[in-house]
Amino acid sequence: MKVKLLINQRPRVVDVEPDEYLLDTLRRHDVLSVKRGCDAASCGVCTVLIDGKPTLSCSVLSARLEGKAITTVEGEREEVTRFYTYFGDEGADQCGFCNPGLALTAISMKRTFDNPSEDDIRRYIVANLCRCSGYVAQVRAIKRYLEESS
Amino acid sequence: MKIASLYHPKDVNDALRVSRESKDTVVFGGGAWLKLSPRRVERAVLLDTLNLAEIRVHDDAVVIGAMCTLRSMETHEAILDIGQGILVDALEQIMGVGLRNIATIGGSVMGKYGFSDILPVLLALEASLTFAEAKEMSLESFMASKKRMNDVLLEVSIPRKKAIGYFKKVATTPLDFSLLNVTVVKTDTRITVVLGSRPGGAMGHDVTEYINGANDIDKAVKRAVESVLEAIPLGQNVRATKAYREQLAKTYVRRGLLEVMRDES
Amino acid sequence: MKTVNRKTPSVDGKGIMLGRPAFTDDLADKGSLIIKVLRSPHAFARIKSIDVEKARKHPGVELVLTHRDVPRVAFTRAGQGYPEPSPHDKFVLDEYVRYVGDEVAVVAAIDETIAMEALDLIDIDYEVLDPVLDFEEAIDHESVIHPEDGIREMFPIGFEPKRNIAASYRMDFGDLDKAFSESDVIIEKTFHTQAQAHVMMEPHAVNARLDFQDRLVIISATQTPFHVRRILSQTLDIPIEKIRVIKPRVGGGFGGKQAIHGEMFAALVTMRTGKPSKLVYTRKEVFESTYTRHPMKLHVKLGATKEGALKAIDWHVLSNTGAYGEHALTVFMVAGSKVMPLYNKVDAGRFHGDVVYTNTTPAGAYRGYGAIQGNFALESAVDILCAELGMDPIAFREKNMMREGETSPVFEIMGEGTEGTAMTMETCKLDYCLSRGLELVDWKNIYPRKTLKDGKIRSVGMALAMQGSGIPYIDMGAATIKLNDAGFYNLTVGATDIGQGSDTVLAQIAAETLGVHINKVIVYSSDTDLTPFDTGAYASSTTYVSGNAVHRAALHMREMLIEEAAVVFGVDVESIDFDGATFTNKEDEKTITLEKLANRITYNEDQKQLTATSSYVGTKSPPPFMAGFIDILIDKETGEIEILDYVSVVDCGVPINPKLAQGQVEGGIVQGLGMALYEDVKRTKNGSLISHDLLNYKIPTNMDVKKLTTEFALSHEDSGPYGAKSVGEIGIDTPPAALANAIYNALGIRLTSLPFTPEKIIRALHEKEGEKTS
Repeated sequence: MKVKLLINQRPRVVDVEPDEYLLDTLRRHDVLSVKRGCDAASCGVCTVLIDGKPTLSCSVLSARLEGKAITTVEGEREEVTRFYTYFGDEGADQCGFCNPGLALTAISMKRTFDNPSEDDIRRYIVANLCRCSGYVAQVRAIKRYLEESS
Repeated sequence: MKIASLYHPKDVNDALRVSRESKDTVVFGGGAWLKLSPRRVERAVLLDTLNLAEIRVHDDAVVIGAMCTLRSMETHEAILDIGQGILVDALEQIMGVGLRNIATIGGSVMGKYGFSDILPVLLALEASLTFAEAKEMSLESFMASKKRMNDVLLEVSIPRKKAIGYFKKVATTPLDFSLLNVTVVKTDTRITVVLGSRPGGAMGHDVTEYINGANDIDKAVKRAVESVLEAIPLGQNVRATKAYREQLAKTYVRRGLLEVMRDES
Repeated sequence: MKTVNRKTPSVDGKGIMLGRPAFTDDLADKGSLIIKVLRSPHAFARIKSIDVEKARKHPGVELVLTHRDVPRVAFTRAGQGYPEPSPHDKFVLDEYVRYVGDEVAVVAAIDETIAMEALDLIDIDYEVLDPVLDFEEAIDHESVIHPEDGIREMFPIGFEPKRNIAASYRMDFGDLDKAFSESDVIIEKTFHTQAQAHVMMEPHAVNARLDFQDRLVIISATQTPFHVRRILSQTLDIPIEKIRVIKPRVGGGFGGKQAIHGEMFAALVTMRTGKPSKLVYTRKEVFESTYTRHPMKLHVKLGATKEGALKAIDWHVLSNTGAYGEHALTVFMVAGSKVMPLYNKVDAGRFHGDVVYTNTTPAGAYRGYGAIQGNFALESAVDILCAELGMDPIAFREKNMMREGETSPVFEIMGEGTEGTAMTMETCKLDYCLSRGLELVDWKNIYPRKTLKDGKIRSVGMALAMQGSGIPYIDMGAATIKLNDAGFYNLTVGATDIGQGSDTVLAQIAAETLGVHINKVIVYSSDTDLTPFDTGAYASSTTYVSGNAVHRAALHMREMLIEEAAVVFGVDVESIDFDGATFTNKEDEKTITLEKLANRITYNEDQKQLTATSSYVGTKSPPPFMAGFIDILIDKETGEIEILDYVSVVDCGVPINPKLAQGQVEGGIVQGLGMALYEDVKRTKNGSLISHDLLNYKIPTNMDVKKLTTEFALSHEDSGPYGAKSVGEIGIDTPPAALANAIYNALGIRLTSLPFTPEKIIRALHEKEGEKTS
């Protein structure tokens, strides 16, 4: 079946099976920043923005997204670059597999919250699992990004 | 889950009709846990276009459309007011934002998941349900019924009563299902304790008689806790033994009762 | 120093965050056949018959492989140097299946749906055998897990498959009986460690294709591209020169990607069909069918004088390698060899035991590699001993622990699968790590415990640890530096960046030596066609071993450049000064820039290509040391633990990149805390995995560890590049023992079986209270 999606500001008509998930649709269409980590809605690496809201693309049927705006890091180059300045500076990056999903979550946070506390930050990114960093550098980076960049 | 086809009904009656055509036709909520089901579905009935995602605030109740996501609920002011934020407190502890932007209140209710962190709170708040055919039904009778509800859930209604709430989720990590969750809600007339993830579905118990008018609060709470443990059976699964669940229930029901009473004074 | 030991952002972080294709599945050929593996539902069975005709005929299926269709060559997937210390006990496919998830058949089809359908069309008749699931009952069990012919050890490792023993080992030094007889206090305790899962965020993935020279190109998320090339060649009888292995960006490894996993199947499918193929593991397959940490049962006996002098350490260890013996012996030995030397003043020591086969998911390399298991046992036992002695555990450690300039007989006796290498600790700042950590965690105000107003108990606990820096005389790394026109360099290394940041660290070492900004060093890893050899990213070897190779190559490049400049000026090399950017002839102060020189030899005069290749193999393995301290809050009614802080003070020599080094330590700490707190592989009584997804296997989230305090001791290891030792594994070792000790300090209960779930704590408390009341 055909679905019209706005993928990174570009209108695309994609042909999908009824049970195809957005993660598969995106990767099939070469949006490769979106990663597959667990396939059971429990790791966060497949996070994309749907109409601006962070959403696990492994668990959303593409066919239900008619007319929706799907944003990945490919469509947020400037903001991701800004975010990375803090991330790199804090030494928060290691393997990077979870970073596109985390970056989108942080960006959506910046657009949703005024002055979030550290606890707000931690809660908001709690489902973006990372096995490399130990998280504290990530939280420091996101805190600085939210406070300092505007 | 394997899904052969999707169906967008033109209205609620159409949804109800189609959903009853075959046992392989299923009404979908948000679909957050579809991946975990090995089932094969011939036709998935989607309520996405039926305007069921709204939250309406009436004088006596907050009415939440079945397709409202958990995330939309937790960010709504009227929901924050309920039970001094108890509902938001429970919602915020369900997995992450990325999942709560998918999962709907309708899916959470109809799934009757034993591990649910939201059903116990709705139960304690005396929520009621509106179905396409069966119309009104209390959440309590819905939960108590063993029958599969062959109907389409339209709304969840939560009374706007003055209430003080306590919610505790005990889990291995914030991304785990609860080993046990404990809800205590005190209104002007009642004190209710609900235990969820027992590991079975949530069950409530009215402890008003032990607390109201008691002189010795500690003794009253102790008796209330004992009555909860007698009334609500706890069991064992891979996450915790029965004995440990009882230990948790003993501790957190006591703490919850003391907290709702302290908040009042 | 300008680049080393300075804050330097990683060379690749931004591009990866921007989503540029970098990982195996991003780079896989789009037309790849999809490979799916049929896996055993039984813990132990023999395939009596297997009928794949329906699957073969299923439209879209290109190939189906069973044990009858593949070469019968025993090998080990361990991904180690050659000859391996792991037994060759695995066949590509076999008529026996030895754990739930073991490989039965392989299907390649034009898409995933068809491949999955084909799996359902395979009919198998199993003879279900009685599995060995409890590793304490494995030796001489009626069921022999490896009854087959053709399996072997490469050199003596105590391999006795008919007794379900994959390896065994024994060492001792000094007079143990005498040492115990001279001890005033002797304690003995048995400890159990669990099968932790790696849970790197990127699942294992491999893509194979044939290139236009008809060579097999494997793109794989591996820690060991050169070993993959060799093992594929040996096992599938493909000439090694016909194979190219490319390691792209890897999304975490932690030892789990040291081994061969899907490479064998992708290679076979592509060789047989002539078509590209790919195999991306599902998360369930990663949990069920790759590796875990070796579960161990460790019996430790310590003896000390009443003055607190540790006299003897005696261990007996039983390790569970699961269905296959990858890393069986070496992980086992490291449990002793990288723990025992912490207390080097003992008169006598013994370390012995067996590594057994069971019908469970194989165990393999995993960050810490035995040291975390051994550390948990010994550092718990030391606190138990101190309680018996009535001695402060800090004072005891100060008296007995390793100091700079000292050695331990263990180094010479125990290597990795072989004899070891004697060495003296040129750098050991354990005394500083200990005293600084005590300050940072505010030990004197909390130890052993404080009871808060709400009844919760705050306590502290600690442990010391050491690791190694590569394997002496075995691990070899090499680097090539090439000068380009305009005066920038390519650095190619076989060393495998798997997300730990080694590309950045190695580029920093090259930039420092060459006197240029890191932007002028373009680093690339790893590709068996293009980069020089490296054993791979394991055994905490990259910074120390590969870093030394890079340092040497850069020094060599400098020499060559100075020679070229001397030609330009017509003087001896002694007359040339070179600061990285400009060559100065000291005789007349005339100068030429590197840019001009590079352009000159590329385009104008004396044209040539300058490359420098160097390699390094360690002659010792200088251990990094650390002291780890945990500060916790325990709810004694529920057993729930809140971690307030984890203080790490680490001597890893000079950290080349302090931020990345901190990330290594902190990532290790949190992974170790996961093991200490709740990570656990759970099985049904039939041996199938319950914890096969991230809903049922929990790893720490950011809410579980909110504060980490990490510092480095001032230390300079002369044998390391710019003074560096390793830092990749040391962080993971201390959390289990530190937490066990903190729980004891809080509640007086001694937990000896990992993980320390709240429920276990409550059970132990109730038992203790029961003892009191009865």
